[in-house]
Amino acid sequence: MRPFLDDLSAVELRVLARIRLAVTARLAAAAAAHDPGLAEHGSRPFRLALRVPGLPRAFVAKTEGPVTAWAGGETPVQRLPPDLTLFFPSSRDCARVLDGSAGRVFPIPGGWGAARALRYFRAAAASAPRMLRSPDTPAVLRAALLLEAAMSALVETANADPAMAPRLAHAPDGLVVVDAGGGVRRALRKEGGRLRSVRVPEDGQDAVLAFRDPESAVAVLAGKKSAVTALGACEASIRGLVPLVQGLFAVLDRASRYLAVKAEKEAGHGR
Amino acid sequence: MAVDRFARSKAVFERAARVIPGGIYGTKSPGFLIPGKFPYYLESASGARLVDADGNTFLDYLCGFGSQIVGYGNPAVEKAGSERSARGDLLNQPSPLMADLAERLVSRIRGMAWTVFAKNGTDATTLAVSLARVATGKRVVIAAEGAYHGAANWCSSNLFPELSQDREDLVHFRYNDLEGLEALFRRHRGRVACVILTPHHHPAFRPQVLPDPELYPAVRRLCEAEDALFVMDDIRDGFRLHPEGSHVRFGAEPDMVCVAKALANGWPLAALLGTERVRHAADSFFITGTYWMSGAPMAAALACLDEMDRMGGVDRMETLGTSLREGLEAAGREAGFEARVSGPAAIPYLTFDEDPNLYLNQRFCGAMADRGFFLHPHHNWFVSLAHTEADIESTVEAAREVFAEMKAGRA
Repeated sequence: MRPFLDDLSAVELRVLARIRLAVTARLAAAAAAHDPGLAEHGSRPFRLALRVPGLPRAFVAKTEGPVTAWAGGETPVQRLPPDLTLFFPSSRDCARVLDGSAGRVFPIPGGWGAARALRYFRAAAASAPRMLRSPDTPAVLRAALLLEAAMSALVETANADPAMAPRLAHAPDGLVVVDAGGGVRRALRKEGGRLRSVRVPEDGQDAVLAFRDPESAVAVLAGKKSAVTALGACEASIRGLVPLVQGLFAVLDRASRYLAVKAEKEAGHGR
Repeated sequence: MAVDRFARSKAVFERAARVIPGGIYGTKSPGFLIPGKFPYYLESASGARLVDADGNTFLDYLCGFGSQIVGYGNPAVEKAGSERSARGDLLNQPSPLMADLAERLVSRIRGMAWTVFAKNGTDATTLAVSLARVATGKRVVIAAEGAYHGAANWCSSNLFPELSQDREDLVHFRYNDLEGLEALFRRHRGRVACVILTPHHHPAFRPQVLPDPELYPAVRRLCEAEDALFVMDDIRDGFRLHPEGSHVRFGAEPDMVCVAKALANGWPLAALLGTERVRHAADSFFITGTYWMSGAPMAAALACLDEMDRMGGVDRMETLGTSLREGLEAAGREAGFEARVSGPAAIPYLTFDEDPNLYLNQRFCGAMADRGFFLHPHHNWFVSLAHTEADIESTVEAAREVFAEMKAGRA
């Protein structure tokens, strides 16, 4: 895959937009639990949709419980019209805007909570990156946010990128638990060519990818250390059905290449 | 405070990871074993025993992924290889030994008329597939799902989309599924260059499968009807199942046979053998590699073939492997486990019927490694002619302890 937005194929652009939609929505929801500054914005109900023509919508909503996100074709529990839709006219616009670059996005109000939704989204979209950048953020929180982003990117890449079909076909089906340490755990189920996020089971998982501690998880999830190296250094371990986890590593590798796509070519690049 | 028995291995790995992608790559990556339970680096070996970078000793059942058949450092093989090396290993032209070894292999491997040499198993399988395509004028290669034929792009697990073109004409059927195989021949009628199979199915992470008695007759019949070739990838099994080639044991009639690994007891050498039918293609194909005709491994191979026969060959490994299988399965049963050893006796692999996810394998092999037995949790094992009855007994005894600990939840 080429490293710049302008060089991606139409299919790759759509995959990238799906990933950005899902990661943005999920981090915007996850941030609410950890950023006290978001509390005032997320205390009253709102429903926000992120939409690109031809792609599954992503939602961020505050109803009765905590702020929650849905993406990749998941349906919100309450099928009510959104208070606000952020409409991106194209995958390219979506990828650019959600990466912090200039692009077209149109807010379309649909209910009384539109202003609240916009305020929350503006604050939340900046919150997770800020927490990840801050040296004061505890490793366990950093691991939780990175795991959230990685799982979203993994699911969208697996389900949307046709190039992943052979990789997924090569891996066995099953349920994987990723344990980032410090109580941060997520689970994924692979069935045929699809991947979905599921509740972490008490037992019955087919494989477990466990990091020694949140710091080790952060190093791998932030791309500072390869998973293979972390395994050798005993900072991570795989138990159970190893090929299932290896199959996910392959998808994660592809996802990280999408996430590294830059909107603009820098001087001296792109030849 | 507990001492880390792999401290030096880990320290070297840490250095290596800075300058080598993954630290150690491929099948020898620590991630393929159980990190923390097995050594990453080995210093020396003798007979059937390994010494790692930290000085730990292991009774080895991986045998250099099958390449050790008459024992690490076998004196006769080492003498032959070293003497040839002292007189010149890699020269401008091959040594006369090349003809000696070719004659020996052609007379030994049943049905074969010629041979060419290379270094790795991948060289031999890749060459075989290329020759099959050239000889038949067709492209499609049929292989079994989960089979390993090397690390070249046409067959490896590097399924990157950027490399998908290299695998375009490779199609798979489920091993022993004759209807599936026939369906592939029908679907690709007029386009099949060859079928490539291992004598028995030895996928990683799964129990091994012996060929259905109908498999090889069907492969021969279908290949004849399609004017396609049959390639036997005997790289892993070679010289452990039958002295004249593993295809003889299963009644198969291949057009080409690939051997490597045990051929030279670890000296780097692979060979592709073929029938008269493929000779013309091999004659006209440009086959070369800087190291492919080096003399020392060929001298080692000649000595290794002699040593295999002198030390008891296939029959002895079969006997040792059968004792190992029976001992392990009985020890497992005593502790209440459905431990099953699959594959030929000389190439065993233990799995647990009640645990397809391999958690029990990992516990078992990890605990055996703690006791100094190198049993791979995810890859088939090998018995060699350097193993002894006492080795098998000590392995089974240790396994009995481990099964008991597993039952008690301590391992």
